[in-house]
Amino acid sequence: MRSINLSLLGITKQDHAILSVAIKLVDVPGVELIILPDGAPPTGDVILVNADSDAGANYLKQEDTIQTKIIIAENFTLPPLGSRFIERPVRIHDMVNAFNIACERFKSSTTSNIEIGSHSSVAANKRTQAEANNNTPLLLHEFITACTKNSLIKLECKPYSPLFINGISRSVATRATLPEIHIIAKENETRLEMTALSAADEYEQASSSGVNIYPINTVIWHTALVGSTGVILPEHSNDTPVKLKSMPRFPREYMRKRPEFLKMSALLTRKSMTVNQLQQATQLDIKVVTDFYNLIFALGLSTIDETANTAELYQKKKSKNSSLLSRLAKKLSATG
Amino acid sequence: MHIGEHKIVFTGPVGAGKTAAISCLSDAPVVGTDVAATDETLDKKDLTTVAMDYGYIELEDGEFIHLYGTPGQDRFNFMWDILCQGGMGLVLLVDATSPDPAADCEFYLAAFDDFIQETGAVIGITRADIADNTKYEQVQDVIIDKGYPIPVLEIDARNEDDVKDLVYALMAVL
Repeated sequence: MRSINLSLLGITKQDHAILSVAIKLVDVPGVELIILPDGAPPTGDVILVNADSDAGANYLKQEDTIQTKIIIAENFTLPPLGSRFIERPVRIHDMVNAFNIACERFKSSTTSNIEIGSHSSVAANKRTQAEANNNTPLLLHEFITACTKNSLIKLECKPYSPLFINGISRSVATRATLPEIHIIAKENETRLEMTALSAADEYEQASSSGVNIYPINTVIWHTALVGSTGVILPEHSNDTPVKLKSMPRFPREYMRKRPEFLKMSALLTRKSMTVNQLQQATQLDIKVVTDFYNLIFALGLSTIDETANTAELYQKKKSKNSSLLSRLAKKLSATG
Repeated sequence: MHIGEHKIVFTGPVGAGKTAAISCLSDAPVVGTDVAATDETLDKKDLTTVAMDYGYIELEDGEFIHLYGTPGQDRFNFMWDILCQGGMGLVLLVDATSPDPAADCEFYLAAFDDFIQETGAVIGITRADIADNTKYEQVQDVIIDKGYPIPVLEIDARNEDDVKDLVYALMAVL
């Protein structure tokens, strides 16, 4: 029996009440979850943190903590790698899921490789070592496959709820929350196994356990927000010239987190460019440019332009106001 | 203060929310030239801007970003070129509840074409919450058709965060 210590940081009375029920429902054979006294130093293997409390907020600011965190907060924040997020109001089953996942992780060996089902074998074969560190390109690839082939796909992502991707209605049914989909996308510890469902009734039956139905574009935006660490979609190349068919409809959270995506969108509506040319034009990190390429392709907003001159260098028009704009951005964020 | 200093120009039809948007950003109360409406504007609001609205954002180093709002009625369009001289970019606000927001958008994009080509622009669709949800697509179609690299956002012109997002989007494309 493996014991896992749980530290509590700044959690409320109501959180305590939910915790007392949730702890009894955690079901991971061979693992015992032990709650350390409230107020004790956060030395447990897993830390349950109320990010809205002073103690929790201060703890989360420390960059050198290595423990698995389960973060409770009023507003969504992207959790650090390996951690979980629970949005208020906290539900018992959210907390149970978070504990189950944390315990499974401790119990299992550290690394497991991504496995994709037979019909994605081409994509899987083209994966590089870097790709193995992040599921985002493969997830996006499955979304694109479902949409372009009008197919129905079940994507197992243990220990999370499977994603049932419906390319016909362009939706994803799953019990997983959007923050959990972030985690599935950004980690390599989640096993991905794809099964093509042959008929709509099979899909309906399989996805009936799903409680959340998301528009596929919402899931694509959320997946791409996590980033693919610079790995281009399977079967794509940095030298393929693409053009934007229209400006993406940026969700608000993207506006501030990824302003450079707007810049690249503006450039690509004017001119076809490859990933390499776009990187040259913007001087952005190639990873950021690749993430953007993956996103717009997955959303169906870009089109490959084989007639474009891939050898031509883009002459960057330097904004005479660039210093002014950065000071304006600073002022606006300071008063936000 | 010189009219040629750094400035952002807000434009759009009557009642689109230009004065409200500038008020959200300005460090001082907006200097307006509102008068009682006597024409068709009266259907939308009691007061309307006849020359321009003016506000400013003061940066840390004491430099100013001036915010100019054009009068909405197109009979005042002789003001538009003057206000745009030396401008950094354009914020076009379009009222989603107007009879044809896409046509409004097309009109203003054509009117400010030179300025947009020289700088950049962003479109804010206001009152989208009470209009049918096809307006965004209709405006987007105009943008694609004309080949403008312009972000389009649905905003509440009275909401500071929404207006800031609009300016962030403008800054990103400049």
